[in-house]
Amino acid sequence: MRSAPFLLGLALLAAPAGASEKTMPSSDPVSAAARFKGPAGWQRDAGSFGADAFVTFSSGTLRLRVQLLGGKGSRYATAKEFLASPEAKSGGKAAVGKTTTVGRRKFKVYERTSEAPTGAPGAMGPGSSDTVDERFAVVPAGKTFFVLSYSRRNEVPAEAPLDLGVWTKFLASFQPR
Amino acid sequence: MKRLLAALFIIVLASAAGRAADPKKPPENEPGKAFNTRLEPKLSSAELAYILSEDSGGVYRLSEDGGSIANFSPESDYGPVLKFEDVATLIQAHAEKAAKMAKERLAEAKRTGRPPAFSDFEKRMAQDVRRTRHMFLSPEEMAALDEAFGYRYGKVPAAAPSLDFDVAPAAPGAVLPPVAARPPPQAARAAAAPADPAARALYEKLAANVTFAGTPREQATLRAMLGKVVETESGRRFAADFLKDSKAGETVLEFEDIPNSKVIDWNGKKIFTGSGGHAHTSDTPIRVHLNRNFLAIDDGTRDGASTLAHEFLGHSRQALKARRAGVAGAMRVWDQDEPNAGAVGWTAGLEMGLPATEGWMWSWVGDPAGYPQALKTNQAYYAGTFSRDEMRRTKPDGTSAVPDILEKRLQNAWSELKRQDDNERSWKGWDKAYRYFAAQPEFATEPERLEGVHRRIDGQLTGQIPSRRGNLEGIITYLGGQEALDSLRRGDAMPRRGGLIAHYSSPDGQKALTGAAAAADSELFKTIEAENTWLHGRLTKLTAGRSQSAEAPRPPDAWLSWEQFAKMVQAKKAENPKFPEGQ
Repeated sequence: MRSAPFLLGLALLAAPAGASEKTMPSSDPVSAAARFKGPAGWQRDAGSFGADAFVTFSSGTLRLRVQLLGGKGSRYATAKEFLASPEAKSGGKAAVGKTTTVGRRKFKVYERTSEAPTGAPGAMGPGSSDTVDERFAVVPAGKTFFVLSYSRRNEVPAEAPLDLGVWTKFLASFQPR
Repeated sequence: MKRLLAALFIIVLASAAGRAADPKKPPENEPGKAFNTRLEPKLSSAELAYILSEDSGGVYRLSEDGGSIANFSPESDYGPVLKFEDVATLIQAHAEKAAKMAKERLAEAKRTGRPPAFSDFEKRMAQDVRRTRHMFLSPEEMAALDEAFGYRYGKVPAAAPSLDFDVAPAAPGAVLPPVAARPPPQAARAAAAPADPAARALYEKLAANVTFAGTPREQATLRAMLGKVVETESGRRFAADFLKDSKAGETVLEFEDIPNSKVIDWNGKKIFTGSGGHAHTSDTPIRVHLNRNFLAIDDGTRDGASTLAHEFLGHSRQALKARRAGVAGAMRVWDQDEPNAGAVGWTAGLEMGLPATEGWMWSWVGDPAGYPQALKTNQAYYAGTFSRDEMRRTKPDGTSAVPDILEKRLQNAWSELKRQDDNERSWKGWDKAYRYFAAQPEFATEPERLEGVHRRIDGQLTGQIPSRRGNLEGIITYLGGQEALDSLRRGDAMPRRGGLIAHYSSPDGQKALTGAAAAADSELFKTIEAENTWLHGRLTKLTAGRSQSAEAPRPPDAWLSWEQFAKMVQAKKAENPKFPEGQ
């Protein structure tokens, strides 16, 4: 954990030597590569991890996400690599996929559970966590591929099954360009 | 005779522990001679405190140098030094007392239907007795300790490396030897410099580059931790990168007393709770502070080495590079700095053989894209960090979109704060169900079966939910000032904003964000992103075939799982839809 000299940090947030004064435009490679529609009222965010871009829609403990993987510098060269990775595993085992039909299209949808820590990062000793229920689908797109996912973080023991209506609509809206 | 037997028992124990076969075995006390507190077998602080207290039935005091114990009972001749067998008898009495305490608490628990309650000190004391003084106990007494304290998790753990409990309570009037005067067991055990020549050369360069602060023992432990870091593949990689452009004296390594941290017993092992450390990256020189409790726990040098890698080769290395690149301020608000430091520490930890039980590591390995978002809703500090995309994002008028981004985070935190009321109600419902079942004859006679369920519910109601509320209020006030929280609570139509939102909306704040947007495209940020991708791949390999649950301590077999409990509640609800209300 880094110490938090917030205001001092802010004061030092000055333009770096030699940096351009021009503000860079926001870019979103995922929206450029596919059409999709998030639920009304959900918060939309875009970002990246390394070379891999993503767009998320979130509302409370629910999250929809599209990740674009397999491009240059991606952490996964192929969908097969992704499916063998910890990001596609549940309790250390590969998630199992079932074919789901949405409209006229078929998606192989995987189910996964994972743990989301609730304590501070860097804290020692036994920690607590919430269970996360997730559905995800892999959609090939040339040499790249998309990973669409829908998850819920369970702050209380899950009493109702995950409402898949939002997920199904999201899948139906998704179309690689 | 009892005294002699007790002394002989201790000698047998010492031999069984393998010390007798050690050519460098430490000097031992011998029957018939004065007991020397500095020779084996050493007294634990709990035993010493017992002997020096009225509970022991005598009036015993340490000599001024702390090396021997004198008998000051009125019936004695005032001052004779206790012999080994005298002390052995007292050790036995202390062990029997621990077993008696366990039996009494268990009996009370069975009578009341509530799990037995023990203080941390009692747990540690009793487990130490069970581990190191079992030869004094009857099978019945050992069974009582097993039932009461942690050994239900599995086999009895190996002997602790030291009986030295620095946090034991002092008996009234006791003269406890100062901690500084005691031998430094961890520092003495740990050889600082690695044996491998390449790692040793790197270690020597690093050790010459940084400043070790603190007592000689603390400095020796810090050196040993640094040695452990460069014994790892990733540690050498990042140490070499650090040395590429660092200058001597830019970093100080030291221990610090960190608030809200305490040493506890966990499954027979001494660990601590609270923060492992911090890197004060705004200071010159940068100060890396590790929690001083690393000096008091089992395997503290190795655990601390992982944290040292995080703070030193993670945060401090990147902060120094950011200073040189003129992007230090942006680095402090970039949401990839913490995952980078985290991954550096986790990777070194796994490479040095630590178990893969760190929850945040599994979270990052299993969802690196979602990790920063999880942090932003977890702690105030991270709520004020941004992705490269967010640093660059502008509104149609050309100004930075950061104030709007922060306003959304503030609103989300407010929604989540309100949701905690629903969560609390839900957990209180589970608590009612637990209390119903705990009162049933099936569980009243075996309350330990519901212990895991009780701990989870109690942890939520007394720990997680209050802590989450505090963190969410902290996020709101950090982002929008106290006025934001007050205004939300009043339901003001025109909410007021201070904090970061006000700052970033000001001309100075917008100017700072222009700098951050430029820093987002700096070579250093791109290099760190590439490093994070490499770290993710490395951790993926290191965790292949492993799982968090497999390496975490297993709950006792007697405990019902949450799933079993949930089924019981479900079945009861099928009988009575209003359950657990009205029970």
